[in-house]
Amino acid sequence: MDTAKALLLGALVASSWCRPAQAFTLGQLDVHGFISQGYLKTSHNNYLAKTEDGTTEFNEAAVNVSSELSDKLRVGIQILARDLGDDGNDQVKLDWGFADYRWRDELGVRIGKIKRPLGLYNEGRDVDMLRTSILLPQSIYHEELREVMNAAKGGGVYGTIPAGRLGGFDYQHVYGSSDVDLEPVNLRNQFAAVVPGVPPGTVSMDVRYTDTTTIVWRTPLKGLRLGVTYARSRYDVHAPAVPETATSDPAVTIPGQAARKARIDVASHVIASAEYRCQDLTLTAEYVEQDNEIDLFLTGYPKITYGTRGCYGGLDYRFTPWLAVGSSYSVYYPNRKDRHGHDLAARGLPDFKAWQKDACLTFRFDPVPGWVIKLEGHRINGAAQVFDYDDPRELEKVWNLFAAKITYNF
Amino acid sequence: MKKTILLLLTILLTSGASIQAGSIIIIANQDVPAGELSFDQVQRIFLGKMTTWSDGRKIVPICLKGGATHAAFLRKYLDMNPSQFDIFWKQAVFTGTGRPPKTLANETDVIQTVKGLSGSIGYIDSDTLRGTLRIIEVN
Repeated sequence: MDTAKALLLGALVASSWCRPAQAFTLGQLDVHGFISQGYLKTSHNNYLAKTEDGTTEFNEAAVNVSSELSDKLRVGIQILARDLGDDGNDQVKLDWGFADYRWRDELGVRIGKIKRPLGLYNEGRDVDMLRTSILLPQSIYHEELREVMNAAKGGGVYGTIPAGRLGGFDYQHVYGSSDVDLEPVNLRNQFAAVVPGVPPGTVSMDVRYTDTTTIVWRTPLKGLRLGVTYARSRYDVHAPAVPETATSDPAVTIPGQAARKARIDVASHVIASAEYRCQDLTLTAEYVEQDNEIDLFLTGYPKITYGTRGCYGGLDYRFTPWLAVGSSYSVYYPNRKDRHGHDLAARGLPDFKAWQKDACLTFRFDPVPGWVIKLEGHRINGAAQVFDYDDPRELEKVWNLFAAKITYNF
Repeated sequence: MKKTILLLLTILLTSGASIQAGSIIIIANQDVPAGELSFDQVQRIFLGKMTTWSDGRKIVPICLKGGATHAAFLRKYLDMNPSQFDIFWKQAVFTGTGRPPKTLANETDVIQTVKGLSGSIGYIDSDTLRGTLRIIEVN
């Protein structure tokens, strides 16, 4: 662990002695925050970060401030710094910030930067103490796509509608755009792949829009809620022109390349969700299918279409106020028409890049208020979501991941 | 105080419950217009999904910080344990979508706060009430 992180943890411990875990109130302002530090280690394959050697580049810290300006109007803002491998690098960014006018319980309006309500857990994905597991099921909540899933700058509506004997419905709709940083290598490579032949480091991306709607049905069956999310989005990838380049031989030049553009449309991103809670037991399952279209804007080249599929099932049980155990099994296919990897194998790639199947077990400890400690193990078959390699032949089909995390919140 | 007791009894009557020793009682300020509440309404109030009374006045839910009464209330009305309730409101706080209820250290504070705060609603153990007020049971 480097010196800076050791000092940070030491400061956390000292602050917990000085102040119990409770939010600050400054006049009309409520202040909350958290800080998490984690560790990742894989037996094989670098996953999410340089994990084969073990890494502590896995942390988040956030502070939020909010205020009720009237009975119907709230404003709030949260800044977040996170690091996961080369993603984030502890840069302080606006995580969310919006004004919320709740006209009625059935209808409220938000404007600003709003977390996208994808599935049950996307909105709280950066907040470790909201769940038992360290990593959310990657089949639905892929960490390397966090930047494009996280939030939208625009507006939204929300509300809760009682339905008598049918229970009730909660809904949210968020529409907007966002600024996506393609600095993380793996994220940049994924989008640069649509403009082949161009140096990935020169590629940029605009999020033209994201459009997300979620409805959750609080069913009459006590403890059961069902949800569905439908989302669409559009991304424009740009590669600048490359000028003709002279060489040492005046008769030879390296040809230039015109500026290029590609468009990725997530035509349909559907998540079906179910959660059943019975006393201290919680069962969860989600299923996703996403249909994508890529237009290269090249004469004679048709649009490329492909669809992904993912799902997971999980259970959590709280044994005591200080101990909870969770387990899940998650499956992801980046191309649901090639779930067995035959097409990949025909191209000389490992067939197990066509899937990623992940069995996970987590122990969560809440020793004192405000502190959470977690230990987690994964047994993974497949490498569909492993992108950090020079030669795919280096990849291992079956591998393990160990994760640990400690969080303080107030 | 008489109106508070009357409201309290009305809620118990409509819920079909009698005041048993150690049972959870919902209490509300005397200006609360609701004469009765369903389980669903109590759940929606303490999960921030119902925020105004029928007269448009803001609902102010009051919770205990912890303890057996808090756990029993959550189990009975929200079908949650204290950890799940805590996580629910932390999700709201850290996504900007809600503000948790006011929490108090003990039931005496809950009674005093509900008595003095317009639109407020809270919960206590019936044994607490027995120690401070005369309870009239209705058969």
